[in-house]
Amino acid sequence: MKIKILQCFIAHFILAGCTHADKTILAPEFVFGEENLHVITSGFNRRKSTNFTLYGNAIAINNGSDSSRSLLPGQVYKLVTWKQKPNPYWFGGYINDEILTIEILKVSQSGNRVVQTDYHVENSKKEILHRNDSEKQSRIKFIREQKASVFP
Amino acid sequence: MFIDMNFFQSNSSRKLTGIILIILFAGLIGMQVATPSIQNPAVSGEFKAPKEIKSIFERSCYDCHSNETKLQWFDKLAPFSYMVAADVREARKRYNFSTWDSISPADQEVKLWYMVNMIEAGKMPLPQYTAVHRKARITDEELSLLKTYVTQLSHRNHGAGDTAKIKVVNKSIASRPKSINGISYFDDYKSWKVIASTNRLDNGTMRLVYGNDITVKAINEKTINPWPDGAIIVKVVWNMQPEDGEGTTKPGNFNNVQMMIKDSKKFTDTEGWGFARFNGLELKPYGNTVAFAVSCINCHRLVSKNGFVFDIPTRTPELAIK
Repeated sequence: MKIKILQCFIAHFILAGCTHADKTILAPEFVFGEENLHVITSGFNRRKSTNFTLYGNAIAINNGSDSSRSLLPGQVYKLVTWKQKPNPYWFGGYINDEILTIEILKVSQSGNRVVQTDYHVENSKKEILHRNDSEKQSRIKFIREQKASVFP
Repeated sequence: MFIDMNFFQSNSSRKLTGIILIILFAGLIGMQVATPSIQNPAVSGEFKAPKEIKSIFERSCYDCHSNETKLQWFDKLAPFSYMVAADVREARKRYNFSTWDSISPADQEVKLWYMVNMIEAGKMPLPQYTAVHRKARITDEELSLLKTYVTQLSHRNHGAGDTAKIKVVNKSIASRPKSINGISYFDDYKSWKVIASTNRLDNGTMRLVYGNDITVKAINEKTINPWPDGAIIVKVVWNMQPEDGEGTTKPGNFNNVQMMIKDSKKFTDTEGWGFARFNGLELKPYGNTVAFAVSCINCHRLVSKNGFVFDIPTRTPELAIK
């Protein structure tokens, strides 16, 4: 009996000092950010386990409340898509994991005042990924349809 | 002479040991007499849940977090009785299953998710408690049941998404709202980097988490425990809109903005972090007394190894090896 009480007493203090082993390491490479680009909006897709944030430069940002964005020369959009995973520190939460793609849309004007779009997709290593014309048009449409999130 | 001296020394050390033992014994007796007693006030608003869920809480949590504390004989022995009484007092203060109706359904939901996460992290029930109350341990199967329970509860509450018309700011905030602890709202974060993008089943919200240069530098240099003074993290929270046909969920109405400011000299009671939260587009500061930040840090202590920050970019070590 005495030994049992002593064991309990020791367990008391050993267990109190126990901490769970860390299952994760910091990944600064998942952070995206470029000077002159600000957040327009964000979203996630639980079926695909992805989340995304649409960034834009000042010309893109100031043209954010339309139902479909007008294409103005000088606009730069970057749509960053991450893999999404359960938050390792909070059951019920989800958080971005690694960057999957960065879609870049630049709007310019040609000599005869025709507005042109230049769209391409990169992975996190800046390697260009192939997309056919129909895929490109569909993604440009997706970017143009994004309404700006409400910030205070 | 040598033998005599040895005899004398041994005799006197025996006396000394005897005196110490008597003092200790008297001290223990004194502690027993003055041992704190735990009262069980009436149950005024009992927690209600399906039987299999309630029985887990009753068995593992009620001894401390309810007015139905059932002490074992050894819980009443000093010095343990003092620790038990302090634990029960603190536990009932944090939440009490016997006065469950006194908090709002939204707060009840927050607390249930907090409990599940504390159990999953192995912080609750207290390991020193389960070491001697083995029946209070929660098995993996029971934890799964609790997870399903809270997930279904939140799905009922938030599953439909925010269908209300999205309100926009129609005038700029004239003055900068100030939290009771002196932290004022600012919007410099809009030009900072987003360090994490999150969403939560448990309250139907999605968030962007911004970090200032000091925060981003600390992440890059992996020096976040502790975070350097001057680190500021701002979390912008929106309600979720209903999922569209493609499975995409977008931000609905703006909900709140939360700030964490690291100043190890100023915020000594909360692990060096100053907390503030501004609700709704009018940015109403949250918290009636400065003590609101204590409940913030109590939850953030779950991630003490991250310097008390939940939303940081991480990968599993296996991926890093690839």
